[in-house]
Parts: sequence; C-alpha cells; structure tokens
Amino acid sequence: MRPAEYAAALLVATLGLAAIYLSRQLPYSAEYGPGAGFLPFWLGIALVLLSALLFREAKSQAATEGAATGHNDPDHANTNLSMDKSSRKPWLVFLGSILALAFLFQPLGLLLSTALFMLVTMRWAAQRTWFSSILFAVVTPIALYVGFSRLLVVPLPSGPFGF
Amino acid sequence: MAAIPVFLRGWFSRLLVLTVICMGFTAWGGTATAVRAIDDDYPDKRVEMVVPYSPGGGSDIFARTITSMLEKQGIVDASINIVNREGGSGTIGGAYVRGKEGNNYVLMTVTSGILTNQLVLGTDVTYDDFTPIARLALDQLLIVVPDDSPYKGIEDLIEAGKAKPDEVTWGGTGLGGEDSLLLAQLEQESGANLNYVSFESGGEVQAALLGGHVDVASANPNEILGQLEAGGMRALAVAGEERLEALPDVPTLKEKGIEAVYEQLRGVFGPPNMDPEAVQFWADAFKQLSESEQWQEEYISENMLRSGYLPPEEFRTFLDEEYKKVESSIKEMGLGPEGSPATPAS
Amino acid sequence: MIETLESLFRGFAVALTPTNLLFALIGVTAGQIIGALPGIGTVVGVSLLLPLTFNMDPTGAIIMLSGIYYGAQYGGTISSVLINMPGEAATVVTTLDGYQMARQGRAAKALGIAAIGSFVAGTFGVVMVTLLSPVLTTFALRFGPPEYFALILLGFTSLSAFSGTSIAKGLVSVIIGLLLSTVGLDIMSGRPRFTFGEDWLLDGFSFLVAAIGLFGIGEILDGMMNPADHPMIRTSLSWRNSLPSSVEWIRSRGAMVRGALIGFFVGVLPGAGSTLASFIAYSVERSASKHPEEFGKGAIEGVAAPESANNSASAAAMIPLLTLGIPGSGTTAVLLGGFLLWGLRPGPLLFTEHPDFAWGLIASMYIGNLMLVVLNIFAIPLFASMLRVPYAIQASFVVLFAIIGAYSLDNNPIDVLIMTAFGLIGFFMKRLDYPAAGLVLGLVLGPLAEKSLRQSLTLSRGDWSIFFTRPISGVLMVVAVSALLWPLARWAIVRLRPD
Repeated sequence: MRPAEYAAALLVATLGLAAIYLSRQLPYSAEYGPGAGFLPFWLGIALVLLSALLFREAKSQAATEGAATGHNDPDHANTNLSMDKSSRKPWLVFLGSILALAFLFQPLGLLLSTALFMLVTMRWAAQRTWFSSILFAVVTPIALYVGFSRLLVVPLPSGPFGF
Repeated sequence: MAAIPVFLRGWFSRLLVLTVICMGFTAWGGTATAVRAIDDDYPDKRVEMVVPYSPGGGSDIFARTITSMLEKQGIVDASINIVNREGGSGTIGGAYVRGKEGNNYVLMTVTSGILTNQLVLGTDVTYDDFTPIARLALDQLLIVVPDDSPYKGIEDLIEAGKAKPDEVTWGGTGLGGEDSLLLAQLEQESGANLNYVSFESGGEVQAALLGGHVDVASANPNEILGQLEAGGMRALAVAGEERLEALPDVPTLKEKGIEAVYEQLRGVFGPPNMDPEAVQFWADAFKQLSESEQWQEEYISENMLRSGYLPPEEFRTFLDEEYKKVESSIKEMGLGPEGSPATPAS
Repeated sequence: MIETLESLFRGFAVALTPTNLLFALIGVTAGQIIGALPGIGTVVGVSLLLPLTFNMDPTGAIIMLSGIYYGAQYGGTISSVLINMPGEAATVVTTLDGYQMARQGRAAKALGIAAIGSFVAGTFGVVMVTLLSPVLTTFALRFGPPEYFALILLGFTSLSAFSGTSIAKGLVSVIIGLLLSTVGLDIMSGRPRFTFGEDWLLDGFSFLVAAIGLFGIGEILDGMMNPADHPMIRTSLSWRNSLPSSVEWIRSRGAMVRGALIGFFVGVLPGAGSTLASFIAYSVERSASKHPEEFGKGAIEGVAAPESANNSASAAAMIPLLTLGIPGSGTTAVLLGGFLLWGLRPGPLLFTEHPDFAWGLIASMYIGNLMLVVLNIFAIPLFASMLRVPYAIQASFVVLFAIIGAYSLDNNPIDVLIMTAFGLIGFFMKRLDYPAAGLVLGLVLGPLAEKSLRQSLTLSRGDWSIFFTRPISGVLMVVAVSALLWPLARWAIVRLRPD
C-alpha cells in the first residue's frame, strides 16, 4: 500500500507539472483580468505543492504503522490494493469484461455486446451455473433493447448485423 | 420449471413487474414512432435528421418544424427521425454525418456555426465536407438595452463607445460566435469601442442585461420579443438586411450608415457524396415547403426569421462568400487557431 | 394576495381536469423512472418526450414535461442510494450518505426521507413561486457575475465535508476536478484549451459521465474485490418501512427546512441550479449538525438536506422561466424550447396573456408533488428489494446501466470510454482514500467559478475590488472566504504546533 501511496503522489506531481507546462502555452492574462492559462497554471502549482505534502503524509503514515500495528479501521482507512486470493480471478474477469464492453459497445451493437458481457460476468465473475448464465445473456439484452430502444426511444448502437 | 435457480424467483418477478410498468406508460409513446413509408419511391425507409445541438434550441425547433410540416403537407411520404447529437459546438454531430458518406438517408441541420467553428476553433469538420442541400431561413440579431438605459438610439451607443472607449459593456454568448462577430463588425464600421463580456447562454445574457450588469446586448429576436413587448427592454437596431416585420420601428444598422450585417443561416446538409438525385429530391421538397403559407405563418413569423430559400448550388456559393466574410472578421479580432498554440491548426 | 389565490384556483380548475391529471401522472411517473436510470437525465427525458407533445395542447404538454422534470429529481435519488450511481447531477451528494445507509440495510429509510423531504421542499418551493414570483425575480436579477462568483466560492466550502482522513487528499481531488474542468472550449477567450486538436474534447468532460464512472463503476470495482462484504439485504416489502422513525424524523426536520430554503434561493438564480444548491445544503447541514462525524457514514440528514434542496431548487427554477422567459438550467432551457414549439412566447407577459397555461402549470406542481410522494412511499420497498439480488449480479447490471447511461447522454460512444476511464480512476481513488466527491465538486463548480471571475473582471476592467464593493457580493465573499480559510487555518495550527 505504501508504494501505491507514493505512486499516487508521484502521479499528482506529474499532473501538476503537465498542467504548468501546457498552461504556459495559453495566454496568462486577458485584456482585463486572468486569461485562459491563469487558472490551470496555478492549479498546477498547487498540485505540485500538495504532492510534496502527500509524500510526507505517506511517510509519516508508514512510520506510525510500523510503530503500532493492528490499528485497522474496518472500512475506509483500509487503503489496501491487494485482495483475497479467491476473489482475484473473478475480479480480473469482471474488470476485463467492463473494458471489453466499453470498447465493443459501439462496434458490436447493444444486443451482441451486452449478451457477451452478461455471459462472461455471470459465468466467471458471479460464478453462476451455465444455465442461468445463458439465461441472463439472452434475457438481459432483449429487455434492454425493448426498454431503452423501443419504449424510451433512446438511439442505442446497432452492430454490423443490423441489431 | 424446477431448473430455474432459486434466487430468480423473488426479485426476477419484481423486475418483470417493473418492466411491465415501464411498458405500460410508454406504450402510448411507442405508437408515435411511425411505420416505414410503403411506396416504392425514394425515400423508401426512415430518414435520420441529425441535429448537432441540444433539444429545444434553435436548430432543434427548426428541425422539428420542417419535418413535421413536410409530413403534414404530404411533401415527403417517409418518416423523418430527429436525433440530437450535440457537443463540441456542433462538431460531434457534424463528424457523425460526415462519416455517413454516400448515405441518402441522413440529413443534418446547419447554422453559421459550422463556419465559425472551423475558423475560430480550428475543428476539422468543415462546411465543404458536406453536400449542401438548401438554405431555408436567416435569423437576425437585435441590439437591445434595458428600458431605463440612457441610450435612446444606436447613435447614442456609438457616441458613448467613442467618447469612453471600452467602458460600455456588451453582453453576448461566447467569443467567436455571432454576437462577438457582430460587435467586431460594428466597431470596425463605426469606430466605437465597447467592452465585450462573454456569457454561456442567451438566457444568462438577458438576465445580466435586465439586472443592469451589462449595458447592451445582442440577441435573436424570438428569444427576447417577450421582453420587448413587456417593456423591459428596448431594441436599438437590427443587424439584418431589412427591418423585421414584427418590429417595424426598429431601424437596421445599414440605414444608420453602419455597414454591419450579421444573419445566422439555417439550412440542411447531406453527408459527403450524397446521390445527386437524392439531393435534388430534398432540395425540391424544401423549396415547396418554403413556398407554403404554413411555413411563413408558423415558422418564419412565429420565430421572427427571414425566409430565404437557396437551392444546392447557390447555397454552396453563399457559404463560400460567407466564409470569406467571417474569416476577415475573425482575423480582425485576433482569434483563430493560429493564436492558440495548444491546438495545432489543421 | 386575493388576486393570486383566485388565479391559483383557476389554475387548479385547469390542472384538475381528467386529461391534465393524466398528463401529470404520466409525467411524474416517467420522470421518476427516467431519473432513476443513470445518464438518462431530465434533459434527455424531457427532450425524448418533447417531440411527442408537438401537437398537444400546450397546457397539457407543459404539465407533462415539467412533471418529468421534478419527478426526475425524486427518481434520481433511487440509483444514488441503491447503487451509489447518481441518476441526476443534483443527486451526487446524496450518494455520500444515502449509499452508506443502504449498505447498513436502511435503503428504504433513505429513500423514504428523500421522498418526504422532496415533497416538503417541493411544495414549499411551489408556494413561494405562487406568492412571491415578482419579488424573487427582482432578487434574482441583482445577481451579476461577482455575486455568482462569491456564491460559488461558498459552494466550495462543502469540500471540508468530503475530505475524509486527509485534507491534502481532499484538496488534490478538488484541484484535479478543477483542472479537468478547464479542458474544452473556453468561452471567455473563444479558444480551446488542452484539447490537443480533438473535437470530442471541445465540450470538456461532462460532469455526469464522470460521476457515473467515479461513483458507479468505481464502487462496483471496489465491492467486487470482496463480494462477501455485501451480503444480500433482507428488506421487508411493507411501505411502512420507508417512513422515518421518530428519532430520524426529529433529526431530519431541521435539515429539510434548511435544505428547502437554501435550495430555493440558489435555484431561483438562473445558471446556478439545483446541483450547486445540493452541495451548499449538504455543507451547511454538516456544520449545523450536532454529530458532523456521522456525515459520510450514513447520516439521515445527509440525505434529507440535499434532497430537499434540489427539489425546492427545481421549483424555484420555474420562476425565471415563467416571469422572464429565461431558462435557469439545462432542463428549463428544453422546456423553453417547448414553449416556442407550442407557439407560446415566453417572457414577462406570459402570466397575463396565457394565465391558464402559467397557473395551470403551477397548480399541477402541487398535484404532481403529492402524486410523487405517494408513488414513492409505496414503490420504495419494491426498489429497495433490488438489493436482495446477489451482489455479483447487481454489479453486472450496474455496469450495463452505466454504459447505456453514458452513451445516451449525448449519443456519443466516446463518452462510454471516458466513463469507463473515470471508473478506473474512481476505483483507485476509493482504495487510496481520495474523495471522488471532491473531484466532482471541482468539475461542477470549476467552469462556473472561472467564468464568473473572468466576467466580473472584464466588467470592472481588471479591478478586483468589484467583489467587495457590491453589497450582496461583499457579504457573500466575506462569509465564503472565512468559511474556506477557517478549516485551513485550524489545520495549519494543529500541524505546525510542536507536540
């Protein structure tokens, strides 16, 4: 978790530097008052300063934790990025499915992409039986199609086969 | 049925109930989506009319009015589906239609925004990517002040703008849009110098004007006719070629010796390489529409526009000329993609 | 006064005809459902049905469409509470305590208090619209750019309510939100910022797309790490379950009143809107509360205050629309477009020229709010029972709704990818304890703050004293600056003091 805290602080610093660099290319002031580059420039400075503070916090946190172990807030203070072994595979399947759905939603169309998504997540992330996974993969897209495309007339993407 | 997993029984039936409720209330809406035209003539299937701006806006009203009139007057027998694809000042919808190359079943509403986008923002969606079909109407700009303003006529405003440069504030939507272009022309022609304040929407401009936060503003007539009638605002001048029918006492800038005209066009584009027969079909349909009484009464007068049909070729020429005009205004204002290194000009 | 009441009675006569009652019912039901679906917000909902009203009688049409508008404010709460995904911009704050309540098995209570608060505040809003429209219009017009800027600064004070363990992390989240809000077309200078020549970045990041990803997907990815932490929640299907207990009622009473007042005064200002109102109400409630430490952990006031605020704000937004013809928000802009479509001229003469239309609408808002609270109290257990679905299955449906919601916002496939990216960001933020609500706050308030700051300085030609020499702005500035600086000063004192 400490590496993650440091990585986040580093990312914040990078973002701040990028903001400073990019905003230098915009006019800092307009005819009257601040220009397009004013706000992003100072936000960038603030991020860089705050990232230093984040490093310090991560460090002191590490120190206190080394001293007194066992202090564990059940919900929020748990900044752990690792997880149970048993749920690692389903989680990765789930994450992969979300990414795949995001990229395939437009090219494959609503019906096909959501059917695939439901099949995969039901079977391997929710660990349902084949039977109910297939049932979900069939019923859900149709319900979505009827609900959104037909009843609410929301234009949703149709795939290469026209559905 | 024993194969149905246990967890399905309780909540699944509830989902079903919900779905049924949904269906119930929208069923009446479903019937409104019309059936495919039966005849063999073009257009033999549903046509998509893309509005690259938000619902309820000027382009949207334009699209809904023309499609409903085309259907009601029996000019076109197919049903036309309006789809709002807003975003990026109209470029998102534009890029979508540009991608429908050669498709005879896609149309798009177009405004002068397409010219300014290209010039001010450097967007890569340009007007000559498309197939011009028809120009239908022109929207004017009015110059208005609050009722208690010391400016009784446009002359007073010009004078104040010369005497105290940059002190009189002018509210408009966006920089590089029609309001700022009009002011640029006005300043160039009259030698006055006003302080332009950019707002997000026409509504905000009106609120700022009524609250006395800005001294003068420009707006489309149909946005503010209500205010003019109620006496909250006065119109100093109209920036069109001729006076408005509804406001016969308001002079044009031209009459006052200021050669500033800014009219926003409203027309229809097709995707690139649309079939000439299809273009002709729609051009004829719009011509017939623009000659109808209903068009004049329910659209032009209602929204205080100027009717101005132009067929495809003339529309293209008009766009070319307009482009040059806007280009010089924008150069004058020091705007444009060259001025912003963050966006390389394309 | 007598005249107003007479007009209102006439309005009721219009609104109570069977057809108009039916339109109101259709409107509020549709609004409820549309609001509950993330992404399919009021703007989309109203615009979906706007074309259908093209040939309708304008009064029936406006009754139906405004029913969708305020109905969605009720509905938006549902997905915020149940799946941590805001259905509406104005219900983002509700997720903070609403979702925590749901995880504690108190989903029905959260939804119940939201519905009651919405009813109380919505009705209060309509009463104010009935009685005080002209006065309030004058008040609203006194707000120019400097006043907006000061008000928005006040909105930033809600930051302290979100920052959990670390103020630095809270600040980083807000600043990243502000930074993201600068992406896109800068209306003040007329040039694109940080768009790298990409047209799809011209509009910047839509705050709702970001919120759906950050909250909805982020939460689901987090929850799926340990699905066992989310046991199925047994809820009873009785509607009594959604009514607050007497303790809860006492705790939320004040919150509703404060929320309704704040929501109303912020909502009446064109351009400020119900989202800002809900943020400010939450922040005020937290400082007024006797137990601020419970906020963010399932405090019922944390649901009651913003929900009351967004409903009275949406009623208040009708004032500039009806009295001036000026839309105060995206949705009222669509409604205004409707006026024009139906051949009505919005503006100050609307009340005199079309009294049946204006008063019929106002009367229907009383009726609609009543319909909604009844509808909600009875439907809540049904909605809450969705939590009885195993978590892993819920998760897949959340993803589907998020994707469809993001897409249908603008019919733009890129929004789906942006939403997913924000989902990943939200996941890491949650794991590392960076408050995602801070990012959303920055994203919402950033453009408003920057714009009004630069407008003010253009008006004053670069003179910063404009913020302090105008009475309303001066007072708001002093309040906002001291509210913003106080926690920072306290934090600095604590940190710098040697142990």
